[in-house]
Amino acid sequence: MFTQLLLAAILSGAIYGLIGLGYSLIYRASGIMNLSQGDAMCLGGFLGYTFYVTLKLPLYLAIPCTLACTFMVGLLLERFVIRPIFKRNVSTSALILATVAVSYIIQSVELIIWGGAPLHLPSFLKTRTMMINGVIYQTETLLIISVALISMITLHFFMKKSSFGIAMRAAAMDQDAARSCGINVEATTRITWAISISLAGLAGMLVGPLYGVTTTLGTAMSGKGFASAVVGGYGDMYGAILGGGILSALETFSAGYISSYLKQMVAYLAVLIMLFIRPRGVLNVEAVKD
Amino acid sequence: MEKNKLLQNYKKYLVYLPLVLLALFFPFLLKNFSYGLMFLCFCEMYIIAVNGLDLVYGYSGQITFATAAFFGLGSYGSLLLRNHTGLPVIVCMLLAAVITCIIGMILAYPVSKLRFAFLSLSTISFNHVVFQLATRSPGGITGDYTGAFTDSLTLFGIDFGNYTYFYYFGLACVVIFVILKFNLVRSRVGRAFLAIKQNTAAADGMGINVRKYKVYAFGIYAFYAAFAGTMYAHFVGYVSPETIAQQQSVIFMIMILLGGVTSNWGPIIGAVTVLLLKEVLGYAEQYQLLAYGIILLIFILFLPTGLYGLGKDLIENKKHKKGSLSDVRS
Repeated sequence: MFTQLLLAAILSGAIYGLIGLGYSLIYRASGIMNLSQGDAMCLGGFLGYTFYVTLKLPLYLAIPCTLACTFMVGLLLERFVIRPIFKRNVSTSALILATVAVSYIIQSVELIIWGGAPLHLPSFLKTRTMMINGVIYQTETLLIISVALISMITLHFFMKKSSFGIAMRAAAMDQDAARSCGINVEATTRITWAISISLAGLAGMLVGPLYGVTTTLGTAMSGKGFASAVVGGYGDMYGAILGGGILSALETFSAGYISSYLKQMVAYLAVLIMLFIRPRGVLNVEAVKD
Repeated sequence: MEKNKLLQNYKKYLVYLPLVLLALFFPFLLKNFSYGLMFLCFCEMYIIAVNGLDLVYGYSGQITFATAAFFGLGSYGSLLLRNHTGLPVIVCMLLAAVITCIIGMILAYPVSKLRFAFLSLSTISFNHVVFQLATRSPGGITGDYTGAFTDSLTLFGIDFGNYTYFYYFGLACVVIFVILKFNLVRSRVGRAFLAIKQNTAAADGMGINVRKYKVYAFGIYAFYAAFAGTMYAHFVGYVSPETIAQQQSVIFMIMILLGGVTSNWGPIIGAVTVLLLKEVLGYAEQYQLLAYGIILLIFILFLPTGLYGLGKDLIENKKHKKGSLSDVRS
């Protein structure tokens, strides 16, 4: 029971981490919350369904195609919605509302194209279970966890080692200073948005076989994403991943040992408690306080 | 000088008189169209709630996605008080609104130290927690997913279950709440709200206790929203968790943005327009969402002052047509 729950916790933790990463990256780059992150995840799920089931592409092609499409969506979103609003010098609250508007538009487009019924991606692997040390694992789960981990590690090396990643981090730290060093801040911001959206899209593709994708899943996953970012420390890459892990562990174990109905509330209670008591999160990130 | 000022104030109020008179005659105009009258009753509730939201979002510049939660707390609170204690309905309504006001202030106290973007996250979370509590309440006192029934409002022996009577009751409430807000925003407190919105640090430097006023704003807003909720509960006679859903909170934000912030007319225009839109688009949910999204974007991008601001600009442009361009600009 414990191992099974732990594995389930790691699985959903990886998914929450991928979505939470988007929240943190965007907050660092633009200083706002992107509340359409969960809907971007659903969009990824639907696109994954289209590539993997409708167009019958193999998995190693379907995932990059989904990533590319959501990356494009992120670029377009930043270019045609967020940047024009920034240019008009409106308040941050209006910007956050704009992301809610984007979330509504994405949801309704999904409803119009793919319909309201939940779409289940077929299992990615043929062998369903395997046994290690007498414990039965679902291979699906292991695959999803490893894909999520690989993408997180890739992101880590991209941000730390590549020159563009370093430029992105510099722009997130201080835009004016970065600009005076010759960094194209507009480009880094745009790429940050695109990476965040595509990470969420990847998460959507991965949860496809497990939960199925529906348009209504987006709102719930938005909540889990910002909850993991808040728990770990808002604005920090590793904080989001850590927060996702902590949050899903809390959720899974409270559902497993106390009551399943707590599961819906845990994430939101965690946000409220963390913001009240320790707004800097587990990793002590100085971003939240006024 | 004093007298002149007073006269001017009266003149300001006089502008509203024909509208109030017109509002008084609506039930006679809609005698054979009770659906229209019911629609107007709903408009009244939403106008009150949106006025409260205007104080937080428009005047103090704080974003909140918990309007539906406060609305729901009001309606469920009043319903539970009425069903379990049997107090007169109007007492239950006021008590529920006051309790919600206190809850709002308690929520605002820790949250008000956060950078305001995080207010959106905490209010969303609060809304979800309230929603979950309503759908799976301890002991099932809220009726969970099916909702719960309650009595209609009775005051001085008159049963306000009737649309016409309730319409007049609602109208009186709207007038009272709008006048209260009108006076509040012209007081010291209202000026403090505006200062916080424009520059929190500067407001702090001028000796305004930012945290205190943020908590005030939230408390008043919770009271407005909750009172609207109690009206809803005793008008419909039935409350279901749908009224607390997250999307409802966004609809309140759309109302205030569409109508226009920091004005008396904005909330009224916004609430009525969005409710009309809801009636028209009620049958096609996916297009309803699309419409909301596009409206939000358009108003944020091109019309940040809302329909009220647009109308005002048009009228002022006409007045200044003969003047120079700089006149129009100012």
